[in-house]
Amino acid sequence: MNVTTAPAPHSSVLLEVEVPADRLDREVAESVRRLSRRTRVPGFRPGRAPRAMLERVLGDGVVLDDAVERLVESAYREAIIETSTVPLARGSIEVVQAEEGKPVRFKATVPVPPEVELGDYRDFRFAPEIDTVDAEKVDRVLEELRDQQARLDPVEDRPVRKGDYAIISFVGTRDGVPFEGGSSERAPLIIGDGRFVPGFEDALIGATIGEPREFDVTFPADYPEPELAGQQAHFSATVKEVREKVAPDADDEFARSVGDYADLATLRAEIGRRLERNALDRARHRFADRIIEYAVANATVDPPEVLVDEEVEVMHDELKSALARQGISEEAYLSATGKADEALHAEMRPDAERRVKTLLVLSRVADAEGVDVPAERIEAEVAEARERYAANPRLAEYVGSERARASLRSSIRRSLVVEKLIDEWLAAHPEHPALPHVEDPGEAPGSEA
Amino acid sequence: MTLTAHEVIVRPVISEKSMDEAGRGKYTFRVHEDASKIQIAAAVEELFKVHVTGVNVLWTKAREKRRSTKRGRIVGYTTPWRKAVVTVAPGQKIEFFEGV
Repeated sequence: MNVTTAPAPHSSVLLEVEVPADRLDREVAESVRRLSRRTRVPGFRPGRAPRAMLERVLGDGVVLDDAVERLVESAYREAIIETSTVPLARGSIEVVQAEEGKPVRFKATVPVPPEVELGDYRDFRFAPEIDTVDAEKVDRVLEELRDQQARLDPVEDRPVRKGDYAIISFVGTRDGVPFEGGSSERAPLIIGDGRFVPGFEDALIGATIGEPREFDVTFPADYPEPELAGQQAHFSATVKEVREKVAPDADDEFARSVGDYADLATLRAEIGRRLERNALDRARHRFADRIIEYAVANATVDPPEVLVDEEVEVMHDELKSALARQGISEEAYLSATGKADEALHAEMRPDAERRVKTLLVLSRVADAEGVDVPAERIEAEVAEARERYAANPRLAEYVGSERARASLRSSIRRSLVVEKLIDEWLAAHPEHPALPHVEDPGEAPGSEA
Repeated sequence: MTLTAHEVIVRPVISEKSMDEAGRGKYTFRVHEDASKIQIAAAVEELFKVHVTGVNVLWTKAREKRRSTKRGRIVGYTTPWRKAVVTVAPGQKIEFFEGV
């Protein structure tokens, strides 16, 4: 057997293999034995039919094809071992010559672990950017708190305004006939919230309690009920109750009602402190993202297609579980966006490629930096994951497996190396305010190189 | 009875046994039921351009075949046919697979 190797694009190796003719002859004889054993040839007991009879029943070339297929299969494996190639996936094989009496020649393109050539990843010119916390931001949080604590007070002496919480009864008709789902005795409604058909809520503004209102509404063309989409309907509605949202005043009493704060100033100070902590945390995350981006941009890596394909699958799975969490079926999503699986995959591809590159580069940086994950850390994470999936024995078993451990290890390793780079930068720039250490930057599960 | 060579030789018999004997110069055919050994020899010599040194003929057995259906058992028999084993001169060959 004769093997030559040549590098190929997308981190693959092109193997050109030539197998001597006598091996093909032996393989043909073996194929005849195998095929005749499971082919019924009239006049012959199974396994006794000669090659010519077999080909009459099975068709010309079937025996040779079978022999070549098995010969290439075993020669491919031998070539991989002989050349010490580490395949990431099965290579694509193209048979060049397969004729009896001649050597069999074929080419195999085998994806191999990509070489990552690191560029600079330490000497970046940017610094973490920390959002400033000012009184205005504190005010905004205070507003939100007040809104959460707001009461709904009944209103009787004024017409309905925008922002009111109303309870209404209404009857909807089309051509004088009530339609299904178009009527209600007591429907809660926030005026101006836009939950109802456009125009419906506006028509109630200015109404007083008990005053019947008659109006026409056109359903939007994209209304989920196809019967009604784009149709006009007549409604007669009566406001039954009106409540008004009253937020508590921002004073010391309010501060005490929110939590253990002596007065409004203490509450404001606490809000400010929390905002600052969040700003530092965000700054660290953004800084990490920029360092990663910088390292990836400077590195040279040409990821093999299989890795990108795998990542596309991972992204598809993530999308599926995200949809499941929102209670949308995948079919509904695809038909709503008007996309087929293939289009979705094509769209995900650039992102998948970027993700693969990032994973590869970070792993390589971790190698260069000599980052290692202590075994206890992995064990702790595994134990935690086991507990989390206690209800699902199959998942619990998976998280304890070698594969899950390896992927967990490389994931932790990548986040550790980024943390290390940040901490080293901070140590080299003592004038910069410290960024608190973030325990877990929250890697997406499953996205492993 | 006058028969052409193609009428005498119906088709070659291809089976484990016939293929085995072909290797020893004995070729098996299904032949016309009224063909004589002499006619068979002449036909084989004409069609395959070989010298025939011997002909053995026989009638196959009509075997009983039974089959059960909803209406009861059906009994029938396989068609008997005339088989000839032709011995050709040593060293001569007939290529079976090129069609008769």
